[in-house]
Amino acid sequence: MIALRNLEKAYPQGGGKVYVLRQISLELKQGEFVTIMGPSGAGKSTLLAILGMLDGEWTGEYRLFEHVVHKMKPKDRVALHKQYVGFVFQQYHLLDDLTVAENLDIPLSYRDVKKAERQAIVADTLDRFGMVAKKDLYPRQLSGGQQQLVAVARAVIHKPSLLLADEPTGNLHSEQGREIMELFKRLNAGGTTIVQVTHSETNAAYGGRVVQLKDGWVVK
Amino acid sequence: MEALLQDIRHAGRALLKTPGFTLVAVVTLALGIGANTAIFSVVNGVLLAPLPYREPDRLVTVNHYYPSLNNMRAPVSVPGFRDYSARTDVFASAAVENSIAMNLTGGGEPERVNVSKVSGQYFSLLGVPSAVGRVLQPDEAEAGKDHVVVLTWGFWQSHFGGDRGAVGRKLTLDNQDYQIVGVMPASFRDFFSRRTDLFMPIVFTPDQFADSRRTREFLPFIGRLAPGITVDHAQSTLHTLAVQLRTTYTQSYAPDWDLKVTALADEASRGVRSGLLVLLGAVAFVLLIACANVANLQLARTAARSRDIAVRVALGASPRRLMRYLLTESVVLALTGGAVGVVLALWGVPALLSLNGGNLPATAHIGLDIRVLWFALLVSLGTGLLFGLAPALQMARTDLHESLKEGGRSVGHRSSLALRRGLVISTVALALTLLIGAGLLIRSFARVVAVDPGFRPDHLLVFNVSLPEAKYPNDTVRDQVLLRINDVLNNTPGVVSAGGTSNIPFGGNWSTSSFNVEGYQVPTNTPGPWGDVRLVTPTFFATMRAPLLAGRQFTAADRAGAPAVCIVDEEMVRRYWPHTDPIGKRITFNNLTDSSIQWIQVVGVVGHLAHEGLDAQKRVQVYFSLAQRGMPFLGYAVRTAGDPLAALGSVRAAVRSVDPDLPLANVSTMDRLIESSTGQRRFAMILLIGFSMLAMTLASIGLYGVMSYTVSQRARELGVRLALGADTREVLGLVLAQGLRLALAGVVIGLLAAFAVTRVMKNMLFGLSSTDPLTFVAISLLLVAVALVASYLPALRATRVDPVVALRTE
Repeated sequence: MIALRNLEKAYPQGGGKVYVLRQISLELKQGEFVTIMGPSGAGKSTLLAILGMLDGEWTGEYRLFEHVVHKMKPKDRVALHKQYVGFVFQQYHLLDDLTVAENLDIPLSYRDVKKAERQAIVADTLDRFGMVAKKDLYPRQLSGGQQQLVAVARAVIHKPSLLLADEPTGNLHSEQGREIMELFKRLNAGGTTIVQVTHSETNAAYGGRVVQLKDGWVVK
Repeated sequence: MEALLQDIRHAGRALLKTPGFTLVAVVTLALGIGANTAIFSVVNGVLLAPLPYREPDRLVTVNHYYPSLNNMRAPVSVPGFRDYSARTDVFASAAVENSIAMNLTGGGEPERVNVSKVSGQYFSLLGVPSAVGRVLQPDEAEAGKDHVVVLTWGFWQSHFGGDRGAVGRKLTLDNQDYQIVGVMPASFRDFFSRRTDLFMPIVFTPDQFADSRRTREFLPFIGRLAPGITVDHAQSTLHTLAVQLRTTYTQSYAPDWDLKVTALADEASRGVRSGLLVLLGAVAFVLLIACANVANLQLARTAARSRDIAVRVALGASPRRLMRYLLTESVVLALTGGAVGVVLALWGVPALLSLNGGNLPATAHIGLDIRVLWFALLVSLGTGLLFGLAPALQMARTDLHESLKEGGRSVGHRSSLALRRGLVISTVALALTLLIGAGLLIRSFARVVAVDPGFRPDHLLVFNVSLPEAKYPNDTVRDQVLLRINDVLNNTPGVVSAGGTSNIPFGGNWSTSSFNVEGYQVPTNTPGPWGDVRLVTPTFFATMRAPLLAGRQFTAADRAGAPAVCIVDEEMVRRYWPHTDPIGKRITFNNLTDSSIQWIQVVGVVGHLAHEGLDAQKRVQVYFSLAQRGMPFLGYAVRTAGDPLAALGSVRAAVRSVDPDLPLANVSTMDRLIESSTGQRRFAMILLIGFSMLAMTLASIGLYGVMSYTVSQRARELGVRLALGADTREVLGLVLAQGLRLALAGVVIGLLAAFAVTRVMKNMLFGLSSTDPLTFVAISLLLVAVALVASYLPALRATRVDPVVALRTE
């Protein structure tokens, strides 16, 4: 599903460059649940951003299904991102001005789904995630765990093939974290490919393969 | 559409969430859009709206044109009207009018009313039907049929309370009866006079068509162009006619005399067009500054919302969709500002008109019509897109990954700060350009009001008295009555002295004539002597406190039958007798080739009396004794010991003691007349001062905002400096210097812009150049001082940075 070859990312500094990722070559199969681990500054989140096509400044080769991402124009990468990717962040990143239902609606709206269809999908998702009673609440009215639940629901509402999660339980206490990881497990079982970044061995245990990064290099 | 509505809904919610930002932005935009809407409503009424007549684009006016006499345009004469209207190859129809004042009696207090005497085709040419009754008919412009009047709507309301039964009733005007035949609609305007109360037919006597009357120019002319004839074609045809006429009537027309054809719409806006366009430009500057300020606020807000934007991108928002969302937010903001601006304009337009007095064209309907509302809407949309562009572009440069990693903290961008500084520099430059424009107008105005009018204007009451021909049929009787009034006024308690003149200075009327000066050789191809001609009573100059420079005043002995004499002004002496004693010199209105010439001897020289305006170009002035020439009306100047208006009662009683049916017309004080003559300048000056002050305030708020932002961004650096031992003065100086650098960059650009832009104001200035160095330097210093004040508060805040807190924050 994903093939990276000699992928590198660097920032200019002074007259030279500071590398964040070095010669990353990696293959991910459809349906895998991969965990990226490593110390702070290893380049984990950067790799996740590149996989999700939020970051376009890198060199090397990146293939997603049959798409040759490294040869694509930014506009086409946006389209690819819309088609395949869902994101979950450590800080939830819900839109504060929008209600739970509106937050769920946003990804569908950005994908030009018709209003009636959107309403049906949002209603179904609210039901599936047990949030019907909270649909009109704003993020500030929810607990951290509830917010992350909404964030995950929002990330998968358009049925992405690839779910990217950056420290999804980093801001949650252990019970809430466990619920979210169980949810990921179910999603993975349902066919969604998941790549998570985490420091937690417990969370890593929910997935299959672990990729270790250190100073921008894949070490395992 | 549905997505757009969603964007609007989300934008509205986001704006309500930050009420402080929204309020400041809406108020800023409302001031900018409101000012533009108000000025545009005047521009629309004066320059854009069609004249309220049928097919107004085919209407023109024709003037006698004297290029070498200060480009003077004069109305046409009776023979001229006949000649031009006969050109059916140019005009489908033509009409003239003569605005006079008549005494309305028989209804209690005698009253002076303004009457437009119009030729037969006047109403059919304009194509406006009456509201009640009928308009004047062509055959009523004949003696015996001409005692009919049509009322204006205003006169009908004020004198008959809108009673339709007024039609058919009689009015006594100058002791003669006239039948009311109709009332014009409220929207109808007399093109040449905003004060018209009544219309009546004008009747010409055969002797008025004599060739000797070709230069008696008192009839404003309106023509409707024949089908297919353009203004240019009419101009070229009438120019050929003018060449023929001046070749045929060499004694009547100057060598460069011409006919000028002007579209009526252009004539309506002549004199105010350039001023209005300058004001429109000025408010556009204010709006640009408002845009820059709101863009600056938006940039700060966008930086603070970079996380939201990054999340939206991560959720699949395309750049176009995101750009549209941000622009929608800006447009919603601008439309709200626009709506408040329109409300401000609703209040502002009447205030604007009250400032301008009677200087706008009579035909202008000024108000917030549908075109003005469309303008406000388009300006609001344009404004929203303009100030929304900077944050939208900044968003495009946002590092999404970094924004998400920051976890919601605002991300400062070097490029954003550079953009914000650029915006502040441009607002300072725009404000400086406006301030220099206002400064030039202030200095011009100061120079105009400092002009010595040549007499003492204080404690002077002025008014006109007109004698009806039916009651006072000849010059002898009229002169006796007018002089009798002069005497009675001089013996009225509270009156220091009184004098009369055919044209009160600053009274809005003037009369000029060509004449010959004995022994003066007119240079080839230049017009001969020409200037103001007035009749005065012997006490006029003493009353005005106009200095007698040589010779004597008129006396009672200068009456009919006595040797013809005149008094001239110093300008006349300067031009025609520069190095000789003017007393005893002679002038004449005859042609020098005439078999008998009536010479008029100069017996005195007085100072030049300003007449049309303090800033008007000087014409020579020749005065005659009223008793030697007849006049049916006279303007009186009454010098009082106290408040001139307080003496009005006794002055009115004095005139009534001569004839109880004589009303006083155009009563005013000289101070007020002079003030009114500077109305247009004052109007432009006050507005430009207002707009430039607004611009300066907005620019300094913008500078304050950027400096505050800079200080917050540099908190760590300042903390380090303070920790390393920098004292508060050094930190203060550091921030002030930064503010000063921005202001100076703006000032340099503003100065260059002002050099280019103030040229368009050349015609609005008096006694100074459009690049007056003093104004440029003084205004620049003022703006720099204001910029320093605006930077001072953020600088002060910088000195209070706690190094420990600042360093811990990082």
